[in-house]
Amino acid sequence: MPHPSRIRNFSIVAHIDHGKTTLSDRILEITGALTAREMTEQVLDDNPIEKERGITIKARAVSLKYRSEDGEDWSFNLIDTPGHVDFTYEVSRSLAACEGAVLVVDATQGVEAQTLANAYLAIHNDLTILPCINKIDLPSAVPEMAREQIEEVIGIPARHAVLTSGKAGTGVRDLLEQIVHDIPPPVGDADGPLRALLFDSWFDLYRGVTCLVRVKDGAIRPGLRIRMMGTGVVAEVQEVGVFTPKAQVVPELTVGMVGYVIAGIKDLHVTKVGDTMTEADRPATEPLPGFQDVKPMVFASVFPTESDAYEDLRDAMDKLRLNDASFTFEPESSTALGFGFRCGYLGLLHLEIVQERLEREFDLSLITTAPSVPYRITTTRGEVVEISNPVKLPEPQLIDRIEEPYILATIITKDEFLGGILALAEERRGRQVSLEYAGTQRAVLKYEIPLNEVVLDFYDKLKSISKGYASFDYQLIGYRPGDLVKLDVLINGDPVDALAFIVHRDKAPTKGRSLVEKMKEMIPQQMFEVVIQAAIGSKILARSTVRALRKNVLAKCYGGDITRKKKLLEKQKEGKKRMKKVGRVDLPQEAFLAVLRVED
Amino acid sequence: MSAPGAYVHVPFCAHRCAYCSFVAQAGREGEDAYFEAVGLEIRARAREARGPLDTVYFGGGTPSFVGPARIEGVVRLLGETFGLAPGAEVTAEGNPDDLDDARLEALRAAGVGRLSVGVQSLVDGELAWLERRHDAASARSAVSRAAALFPKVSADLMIGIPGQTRGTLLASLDGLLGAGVGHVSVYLLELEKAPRLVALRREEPGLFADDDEMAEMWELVDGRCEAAGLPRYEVSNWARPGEESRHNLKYWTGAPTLAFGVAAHSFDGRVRRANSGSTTEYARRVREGGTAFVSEEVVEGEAAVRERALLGLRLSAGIPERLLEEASASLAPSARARLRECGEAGLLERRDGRVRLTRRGVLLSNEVFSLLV
Repeated sequence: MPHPSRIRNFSIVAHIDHGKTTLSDRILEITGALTAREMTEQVLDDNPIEKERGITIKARAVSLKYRSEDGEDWSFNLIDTPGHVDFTYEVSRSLAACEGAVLVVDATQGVEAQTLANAYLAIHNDLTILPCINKIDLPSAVPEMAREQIEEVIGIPARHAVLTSGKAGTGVRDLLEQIVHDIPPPVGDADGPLRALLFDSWFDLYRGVTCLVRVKDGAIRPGLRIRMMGTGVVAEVQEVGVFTPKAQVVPELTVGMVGYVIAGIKDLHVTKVGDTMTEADRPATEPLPGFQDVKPMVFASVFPTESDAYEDLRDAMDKLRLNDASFTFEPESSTALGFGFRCGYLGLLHLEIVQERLEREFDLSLITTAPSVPYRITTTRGEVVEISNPVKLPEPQLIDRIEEPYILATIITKDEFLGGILALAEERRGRQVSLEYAGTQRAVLKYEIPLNEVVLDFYDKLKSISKGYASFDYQLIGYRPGDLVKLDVLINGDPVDALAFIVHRDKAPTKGRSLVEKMKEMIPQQMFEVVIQAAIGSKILARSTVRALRKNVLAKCYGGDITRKKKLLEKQKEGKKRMKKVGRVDLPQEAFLAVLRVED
Repeated sequence: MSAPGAYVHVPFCAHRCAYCSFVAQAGREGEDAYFEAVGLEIRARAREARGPLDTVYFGGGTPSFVGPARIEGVVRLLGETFGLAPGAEVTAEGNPDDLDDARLEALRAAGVGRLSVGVQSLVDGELAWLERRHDAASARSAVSRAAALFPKVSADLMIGIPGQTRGTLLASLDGLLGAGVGHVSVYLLELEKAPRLVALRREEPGLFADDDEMAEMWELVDGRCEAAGLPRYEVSNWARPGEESRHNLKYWTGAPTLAFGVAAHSFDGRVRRANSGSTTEYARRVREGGTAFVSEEVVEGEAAVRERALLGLRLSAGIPERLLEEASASLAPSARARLRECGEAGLLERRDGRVRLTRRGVLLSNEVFSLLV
């Protein structure tokens, strides 16, 4: 086992598309872990066991051997981090497994919101940060600009930042030398009770749960009885190993090492990211800091369009949950839509990923409701309840106070888009915390915004205002009271529970009006008139009408081409099948998300 | 089983109109080769018909655009090959700009007893939008002269032409009725297939009737024809009793039809077959193998029952209630429920053991048909 002084544990962090993957691949190649050909072959192999190896390639930690220019041998652990704002907690735990981080900045783009967010997470975890200015081979690269922004926006020295091109391989060896010399070796108590940080875990049918850990103190070897300090689960270690990136069994994982642990655990939900693995018979007194039970912050309901697909949907969700510990769901019964599920997600991306998988992998036709956030309600009787579904909001007279989650949003943009972005943030009930300039044309904007306003189409709007250039990141900052009401939507006089949403009282009338107009465009004409109303309680705020369909007829039958006529009719029939019948009215999937599409 | 009919496609036109989605070409290039192929196809399929033909229909394209000798030749060949029943209905479609006295007489002499004239409108401005070559006066004249010469004359009208109003539509209709037609077909202009008109609608939406107005116009036509003694007998056809298109009725009643020529569709009571939609491909296939079928659909079992109900409901006579029940027995519960709702919404009426579409139901007939398909 390598001596801790020979180990370097690091992550590569970057804004999306700044070249992290290419740079990582180049490092794997230089350290001889895997040739490009091997990587392709392994990932594409369809044999289930090989596929399992495919998973190991995607595993978030790779152990690499590196011989530095002075002829010394080093053991590197490169720990990957998920690249999206929804997974901030997971990123922070991956970083906590490291002593250093390579901060990649695209020389043509400069510092973006995720660069900043990741840099802060690294600083927060006391990591040594090695700035690295990438893509210098591109004609539009301006390394000086990137260097200045790193110093000004992030506030760390960048004079010694390595200039790299992941694509051409330039500077990558210099970077590896910096890792050897500048990132401190891990330190820990080799003889003390085991403390290992769990920073990733996954499930497969063959081996159960595989945990990725970083040993801080002590050692893990097969036969050891371990205890998860957060969840209390006890298990006996069956196998430990490292990924090179092929899984390679080792006798033990000692201080500073990063590797996998298989301990016969079958349920992913007891191996939580951030938990501390210790010895069951000689437990550590203190767990490692930073463990949180991450709670879903975005909720949406899912219903099958055909009610007889409910069981299929439940099976599909069960399968997904096996592999995704942060996805939660519970059965929901809607008066309008029948049986479905209320699902919890870490964020909007997570929601999109899960829903796409449900539809694609399991071939289900689904109705999804607009996303919502959890609210904290204090009733007039002094009880505090948390609701994740607008339907569950108590009657207004029973509510003393509603609190909603807030985020601190960081937006980085060229100043030409600043006006539009400020207007958007204000319109979304944002409160400006700071506005700073980095260089002459780049603004760093911080806003406190209710999460509710962000889940409703904020990100798409931001992208369109900034022509895709503004970058965005956020962190939760807690709950704050708000003057919130439930807006009901009535179709032909009947409230449709799945369409209700919670909105700030001042915005309700405008929102209601835009919503009924938008829905009018989305709901196809039917054999009878469809009246859409928005209401708070019994007070109608807005109304629109989809007039009854007068004409749906195929007049000409040309030369006896009945087959074609039937094809056209079949198309209409298929169209109807994709809609959800609410009472007598057919509602298309998009109508349930109309609230995301309204112009404010 | 009822006697078979024959359809012959004539894909030649003087000009391609703005809204045309049919298989047709401008000009007479390749006409000889085409009719040669049609002749080959008819001979090759000599054994398909059981019993003599009692209808022949020349559609297009513009059958009146080619020489009447072509029509005459095909009628003769069909007679020789399959036999023509006494009093067989021979229809040809024609455009007013072709129909001078000589052409009318030649068509009549060729054996055509029913002429279907593509008038579309009797308003010059409307005809211009459609890029028709005739004007209102020549159309009126062609229809009058045809009515004097042919036992049966039909005319086509169109709803949804740019600039059309209820007034101009009724004027066109009255013009046709006044000229002596005993049969009127009314079609709704399908803009989707007319890029130039789609562009026009984008620029001047005010010129176009919306769906509601088109529905009202159709109802106006329905009322006026009925009052003039031409009750509706099918979704888009009105006729003096006895002047219904016997050929087109075959499509709705599931009678066999042999169809010849490019893009023609045949039905033998069980299998629908489509000829190639490309004129050159059609001719090549016929030369090589006698037929030009490129696709077929077998209609049997529950699907055949549903199809019979679907097609039969296009007719004003409707279908026996029993047939609708039989058809709905094979539907998914959700579709059956929807069918019931169509009844509740007043789209269907039941009388004397039969089910029919109501006037409102005709305009929304796809709501019913899409359940049965």
